[in-house]
Amino acid sequence: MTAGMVLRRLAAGVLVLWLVSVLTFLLVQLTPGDPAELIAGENATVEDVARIREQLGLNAPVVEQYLRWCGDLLRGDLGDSLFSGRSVAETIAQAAPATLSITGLAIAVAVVVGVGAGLVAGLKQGSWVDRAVSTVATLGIAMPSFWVAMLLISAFALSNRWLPATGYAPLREGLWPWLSHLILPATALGLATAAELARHTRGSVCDVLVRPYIRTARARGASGFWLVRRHLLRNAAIPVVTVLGLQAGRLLGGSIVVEVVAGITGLGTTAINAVLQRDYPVIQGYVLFSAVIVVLVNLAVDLTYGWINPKVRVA
Amino acid sequence: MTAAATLPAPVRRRPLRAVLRRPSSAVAFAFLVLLVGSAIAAPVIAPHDPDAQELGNRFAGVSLSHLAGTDEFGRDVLSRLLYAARIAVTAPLISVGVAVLVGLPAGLWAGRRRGVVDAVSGRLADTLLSLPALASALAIVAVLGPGLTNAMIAVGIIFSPTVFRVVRGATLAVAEETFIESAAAIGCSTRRTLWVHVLPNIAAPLLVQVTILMGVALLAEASLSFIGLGVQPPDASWGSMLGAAYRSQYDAPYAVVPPGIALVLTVLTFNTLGDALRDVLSGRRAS
Repeated sequence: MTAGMVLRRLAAGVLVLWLVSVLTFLLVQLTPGDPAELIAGENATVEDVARIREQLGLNAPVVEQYLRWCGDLLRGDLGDSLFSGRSVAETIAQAAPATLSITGLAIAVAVVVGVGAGLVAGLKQGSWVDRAVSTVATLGIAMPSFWVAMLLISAFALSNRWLPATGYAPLREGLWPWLSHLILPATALGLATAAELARHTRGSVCDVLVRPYIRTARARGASGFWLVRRHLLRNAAIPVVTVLGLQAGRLLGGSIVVEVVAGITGLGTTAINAVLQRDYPVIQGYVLFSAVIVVLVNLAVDLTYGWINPKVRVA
Repeated sequence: MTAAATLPAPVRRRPLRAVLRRPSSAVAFAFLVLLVGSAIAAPVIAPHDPDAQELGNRFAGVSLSHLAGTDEFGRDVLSRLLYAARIAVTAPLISVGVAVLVGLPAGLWAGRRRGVVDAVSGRLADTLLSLPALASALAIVAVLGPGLTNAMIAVGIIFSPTVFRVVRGATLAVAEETFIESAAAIGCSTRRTLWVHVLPNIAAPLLVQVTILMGVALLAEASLSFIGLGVQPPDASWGSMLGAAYRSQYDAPYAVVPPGIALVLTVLTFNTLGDALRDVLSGRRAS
């Protein structure tokens, strides 16, 4: 991938983030009625309402509000929570590791299980393994991840006390405490993505297997592991990477509900509380942060195309 | 390549019959009929009032008078499941309705007119799609306030770029056709061309997308109701029943099963029908 292309992708990402920032800014403006009164609640005094209006900067004209908001944003200042008074950046920095751990682990589970199952199903088309994979995948897509998380926790943490049922342990407390808290919610979260990946991997393997270069490779004596490793994986990987990019946002969103089930204080639970309290600065920070993550993942996906498929590098 | 190759397949004469010929989608359709039927007939067939509390009979197991047991207030779970079927049918319709209301005209317009309108709305759609769906739904609920209708409107807004893209893509393909050119030549207004000549030809991909979105909307409803931003008590949806079951899982560990199964079966039904419609309408055979 040439430097020019990387720059172009970067520019597209920045444009998307700018639009997201405009939309999140508009959140407060679009609130029907007076946002300050709504936030303050029914029993608030006039001073409370005035304080919140001041804190949100609602007294200034809209354009000035937007410019000030943008300026703060560029300096990394996302404002302060209206309730805890802590800075939003700090709140998010504290909640992000748990959420990113769940999502990251969910992606790992999805890739290992999904690509593995899809590969086997594609190589053994029509066999019972193939049918089993497609049945489980169809079910997996239809199951709400938070329900799966409840079932897994009930089976592996409550009925059998093999794993902790709730909570989160940061990685610095050791690999096992971290992993043991995350393995159930991450598996539940990754299941639907695994199902989606299995379907696409299977389809992609089926497409590649009938190509002339596979026949040629077979004629030259390539078979088994070598055929898969050298000729199939790389060519079958492209749709899989695309799906993974599309799933990043879904996983980050799905983590909201799974965190509740697993009793983990992460971005999701922070966002839910913010919505219930109408803590606008926190909501805005959460939406912006999520958008940054998704844009970064998609940038990584674009770069991966070039790495997998040299033809893209010059195009 | 002729232009016909890029044209979406026109709706077959009897797509429903072709869909029902597959065993899996016949079962799915039967389940959908059963679901809608029990949603409508809930007051007649429910054995108990869904909100009637028997506090002396909390977390009762399966019995003849309570076929699926009772919940944390001693309410009959089966009756609540049946009433919740009403929400399972109507809530996704709100979301899909909003998405079509926004996405269809915008997609038609962008696909026909191209130019600046197309570029701007395309960028906006990309941006909305780049956000995690549930995160943007939360943000919109923050503006509108919690509640089932607001939550489903929020989900509908999140869906609208998806509908927009499907409609725009299909419209672009149709717009190259000679019958569109001749409609313009005999003086049809853009609006008339779009509604009378373009719309019937993009109905197939739109129908497929709408069916699939019904399942996604139901999952979104369940998620939002589970965390308390959707349906408000004492009303129940399968998602909010799961929320209640989660909070009382030490008293009644199996309470999470019935609403979950109802949810999975219904989503599976929408997905199966969506897949079948796609195959039939695009002229593919069962995979």
